[in-house]
Amino acid sequence: MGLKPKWLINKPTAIAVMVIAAVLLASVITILFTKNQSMKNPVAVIYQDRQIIATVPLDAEHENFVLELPHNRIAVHDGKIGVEWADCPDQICVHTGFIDNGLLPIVCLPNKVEIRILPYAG
Amino acid sequence: MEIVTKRIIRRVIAVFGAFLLWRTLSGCAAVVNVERTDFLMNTVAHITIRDAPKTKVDEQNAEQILDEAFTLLREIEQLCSAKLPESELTFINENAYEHDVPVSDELFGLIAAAYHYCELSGGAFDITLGKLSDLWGFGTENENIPDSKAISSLLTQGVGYEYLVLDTNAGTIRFTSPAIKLDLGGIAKGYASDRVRDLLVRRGVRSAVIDLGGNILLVGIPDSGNNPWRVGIKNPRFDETDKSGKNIFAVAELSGGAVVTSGDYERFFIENGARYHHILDRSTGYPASGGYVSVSILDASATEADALSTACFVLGTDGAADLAGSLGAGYIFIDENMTAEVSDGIKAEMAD
Repeated sequence: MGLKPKWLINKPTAIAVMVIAAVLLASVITILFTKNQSMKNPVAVIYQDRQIIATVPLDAEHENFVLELPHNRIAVHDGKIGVEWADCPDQICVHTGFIDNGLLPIVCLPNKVEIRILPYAG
Repeated sequence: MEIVTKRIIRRVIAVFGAFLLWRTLSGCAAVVNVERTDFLMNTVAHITIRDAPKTKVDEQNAEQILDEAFTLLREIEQLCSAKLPESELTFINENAYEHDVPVSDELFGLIAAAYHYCELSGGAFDITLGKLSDLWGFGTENENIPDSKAISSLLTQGVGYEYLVLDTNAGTIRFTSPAIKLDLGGIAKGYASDRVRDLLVRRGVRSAVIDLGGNILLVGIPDSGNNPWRVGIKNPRFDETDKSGKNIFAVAELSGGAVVTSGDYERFFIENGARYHHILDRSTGYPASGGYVSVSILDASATEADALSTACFVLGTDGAADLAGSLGAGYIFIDENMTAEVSDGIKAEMAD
């Protein structure tokens, strides 16, 4: 029998630490992967009168998604979401155009409709 | 062998338990992202608390903090809305002509701060144009070009902050012209944002975005850590029929503070081919035409940024940069040819 390895801590504890380290590494990789996924597919949140009425991932599956509201028609084209039609007098929501990031929300003040791309949404 | 396996399992459980305990005690939970929207102060208010790790705020108390924040916003609205018939400001507007009206400390403080910016800007920002704005009816069903006689009648009677008397000792306000009416629309949202920011910081929030109708106040550190905050500046001439156009003109990168934009593209109407927007020049009684179509101010104080954005829009190419510079505020001015003027020290990336 050769020399026994010198453990700084006893063997079972060392193995336990290694198992935990492996679990942690796996979680970090999962978190990074999930984050990248959410960056790739932004998620739009649609509010009407303060309530979230729809959450729409801007991915291929939701291309040409349309939500008909009494006073606004919301649609997804080319991975962007916007208000296609509104009956409000100022048309600010329509004029804001289509969005695919959190830099610019769309708001229809008269009809209390709001569309935002939120970080970590969904 | 069996004993060793059991030991390993016990140690795994023990170490994992210790790890969970450490996570709990250090408060290093997942990033909190709690947000809420409401329609008040004649706009949409959206607050997002997205606290970074190592804070004391969890989702449950973030909701409580948002309750407090929206209650505060409603209180401020009750104080300083010119549109609510029961607001304190409406009471002043109905009673202050030739009478000293006692005013609450908070509203007096806000009006005094606003008065300061009226003076600094020589009336480019002016909180006494309420009756003039009513004639134009922006944002109502009665938007119209007023009769020029009605405008000149108000101007002749006297419109401007000079007709406002603030008695600091007595805490009263008096109007010396019947043609003025206080309208704090050019500063109240900024003030409200600052008040909400103070509340969030007091409650231990380390990262939040306060958005009152496009007036953005960035609180603390971005959730992404060291990266700067990024705020979109709207393309003031985005045409929704031209799908190739960009709705974002530029992206400003900043470490925190307020970004407030005044533009001629939101509240406006077009008559006989001319654009009539809601930012009035008190010297003419007509929409200001200083040469910029969009003015963004970047400043630590949202109150100051709000007042300055209106003042700089009205001043235009003739003095806006000097005024902002004198107060140490950053700016992005966009003229009719879509050319941007950006102050030193502001990092703005133009959209393609």
